[in-house]
Amino acid sequence: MKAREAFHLWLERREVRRLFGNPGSTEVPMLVGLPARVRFTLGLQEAAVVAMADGYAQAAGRPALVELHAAPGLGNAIGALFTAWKNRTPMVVAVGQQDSRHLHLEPLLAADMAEMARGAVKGVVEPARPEDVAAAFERAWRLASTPPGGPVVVVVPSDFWDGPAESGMAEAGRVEAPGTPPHEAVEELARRLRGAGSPALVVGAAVDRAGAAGLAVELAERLGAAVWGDPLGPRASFPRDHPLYRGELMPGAPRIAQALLGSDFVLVVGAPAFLVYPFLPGPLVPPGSELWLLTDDPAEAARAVAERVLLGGVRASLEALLERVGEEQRGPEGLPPRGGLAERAWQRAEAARARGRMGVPFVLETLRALLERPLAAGEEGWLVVDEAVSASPLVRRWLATEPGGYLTAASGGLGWGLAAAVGAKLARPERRVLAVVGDGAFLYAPQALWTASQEGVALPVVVLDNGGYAILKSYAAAYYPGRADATPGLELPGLDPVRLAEALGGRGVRVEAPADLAPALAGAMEARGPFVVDVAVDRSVPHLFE
Amino acid sequence: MLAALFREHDLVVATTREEAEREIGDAEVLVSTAFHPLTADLLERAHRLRLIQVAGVGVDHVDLEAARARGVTVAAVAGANAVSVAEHVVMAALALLRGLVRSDRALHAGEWPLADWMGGAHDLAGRTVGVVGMGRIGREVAARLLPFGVGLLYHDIRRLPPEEEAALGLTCADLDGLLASSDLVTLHLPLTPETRGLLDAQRIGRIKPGAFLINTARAELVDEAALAEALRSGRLAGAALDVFHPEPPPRDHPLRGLPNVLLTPHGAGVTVEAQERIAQAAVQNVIRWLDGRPLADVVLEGAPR
Repeated sequence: MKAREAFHLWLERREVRRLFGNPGSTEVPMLVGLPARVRFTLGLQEAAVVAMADGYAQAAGRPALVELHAAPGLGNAIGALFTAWKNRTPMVVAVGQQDSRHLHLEPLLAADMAEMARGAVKGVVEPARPEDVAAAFERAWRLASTPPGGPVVVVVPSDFWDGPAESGMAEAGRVEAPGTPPHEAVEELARRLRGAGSPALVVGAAVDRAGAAGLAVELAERLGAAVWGDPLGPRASFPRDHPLYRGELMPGAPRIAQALLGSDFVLVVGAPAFLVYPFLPGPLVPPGSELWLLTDDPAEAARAVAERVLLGGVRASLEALLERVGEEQRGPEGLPPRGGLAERAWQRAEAARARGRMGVPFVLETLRALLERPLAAGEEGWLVVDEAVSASPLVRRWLATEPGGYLTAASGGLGWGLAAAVGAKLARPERRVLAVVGDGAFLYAPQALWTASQEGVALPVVVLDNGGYAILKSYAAAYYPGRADATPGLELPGLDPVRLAEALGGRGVRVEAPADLAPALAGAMEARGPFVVDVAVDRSVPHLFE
Repeated sequence: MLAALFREHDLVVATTREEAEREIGDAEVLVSTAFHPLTADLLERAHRLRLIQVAGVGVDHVDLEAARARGVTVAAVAGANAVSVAEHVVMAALALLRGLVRSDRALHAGEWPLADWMGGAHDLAGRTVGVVGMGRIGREVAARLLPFGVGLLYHDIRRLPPEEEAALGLTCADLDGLLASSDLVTLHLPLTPETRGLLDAQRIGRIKPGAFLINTARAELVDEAALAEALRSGRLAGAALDVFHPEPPPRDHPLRGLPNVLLTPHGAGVTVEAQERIAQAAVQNVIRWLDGRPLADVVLEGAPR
């Protein structure tokens, strides 16, 4: 048996049904004779390939398999791999290396791929001989899927595929995820939470990844705790209209401390403590409060500003904690209702105010009315994939209401959202998926539209088109008042997303009049393939850093 | 001028009960205001009366059963005061949130209440306003408050069409939800057997702690004693009241004398401009009647002419 056949067998054992990639000469030996049950999903640029695989893995809840072409392909993919790693997305990434027999000459396409990838991925596996190729993929699979999930690169010289396979095949072994932290630590945590005068929970993306939002709600209600979303949280981990939900933390040290002021005990679950973005001096934790972290990520544990960290599976730990906390309910009765009705009332009023200038709130409210339809019919809600960046806080406020229904990139990069939405839809064809992206984000990896069109993916794509990098305009205006216009490179004139979509096999329409918006969105939702609604939104710069 | 308009008819003005009793027997058309109740015994004398045209929005002061028994048509003037009431509500909302009256009183009394002001003056932006009753006035109120950056909840027995809700930025809610979620509740519904005592002690207890109440509709919608208690205890931050039971309220009325209550003499809808609009509309209707044309805002259809 050849290494290639052993690899193909391994694909079968791991029940891999899709391979995302863009091949080159160094990967042809890997792909030749690929079993028909593994569908090769071609992306036209590696950034789109990896982002599609990312969305696929997140929606499927299992690792995605990716193939990249040598040093140039890996180079193109690095930003997307970085995002996948920040997203904690399990992914096995095969990168073709030049033929090992002439590597010493540094032939075309060759580079130290492990070195290139290392800063952006969870791990790198380099089989030393053809006999180890299948085992290397198994090792990468296990590493990628053990918490925290992440992309693991496997670098395979092209001649290895035709080399001999070890007779003892790489098994599709199981790694059981870490369970509960030590009992006494859980006990102590429960005691602290019960003893706190006003406890707070910060609920992060790992809770949604573990499908444990219901447990977080249960915990919050029993404690009557104030609940915050993690800063720039890439998922919806807590129902936003819950009376205990207070909002999402801002990604700045003093802003976080300010929000948590008055909570004497803070438990962060399934998130870094804390993700910050613009530097602001000051403490992360308010004086007089104690902060603990519950995480499945040893690196998060190591850098957290927590007095104590419990390392364990998020779901198992929450279950154990609930048991120790006991049944007694302290909320939400007796707490003033926040969110809920008043929040909806504000959103709808804000949308009415924004209508005339096609402000983002109007667009999101119009979208929301359409997204609520399946819920009203008792069907599964939409999955919203967001890369609207300057509008993302609003997108979350309007559309990321239910756990399991929202994804955004945790890295701060662009070019992920559209492709991730295509991948998510490939993983869950029966689920309604929607992409909401900015014009800047849309233009980073639009090639995913071609894949969507070739694969028959029905995907409405809403482009909140403000003609520039509004987030950077906002940043410049906040940090250099009066000099924002002196920053170059923030305008995006002369672009036509609709024609770009059409060129890639999709369809689209531009919307400039508020009255045209709802019909255009409804039409996009009925389309069979990718359909871009390019909305000319208000161009005034939002205040995101003040 | 009115006399000129109704040249072929006798025009009699009655300003007291006695005058009314004396003159009503001859009248075919009676233009009435809320200041003088049209009771059954008064209507008893109105042998020739065919039309009561109320120069106002409410017909509480007319004994409708007595009118019905006599086959008299009753018409009112709808909407002429909607703008005035809505402006009054905006004024009251801003005044309550700023603690305007308290500060004004203190300054007149020789104080400099800046510290109090800074501790208690709030913006309207970002607040949630609950409008109970989404009729003509409710809509005018909502439209005027929307640009202030508020959220708007409303409750009504009839829900508006979705497009209208979206255009006005309104969110429909059940009454208890509205009361629990609004920072400011304003009443704009008629007094009917169903709405009498709508805000009883129990419902007042469901209002969000620290919220404000504005009542420019009818005093009987609210349990005044329970309201006074909620205002005294600080459970409600304040109220602006334009209506009382009875009117005028006696000196020892429980809602007089509270520092966090802004009082006006049932005048929200009777600005000078509103009075002109009401008079115009009432006269218009009388002319329609005399011309044999259909009337606007008929409350009670009388015997055929």
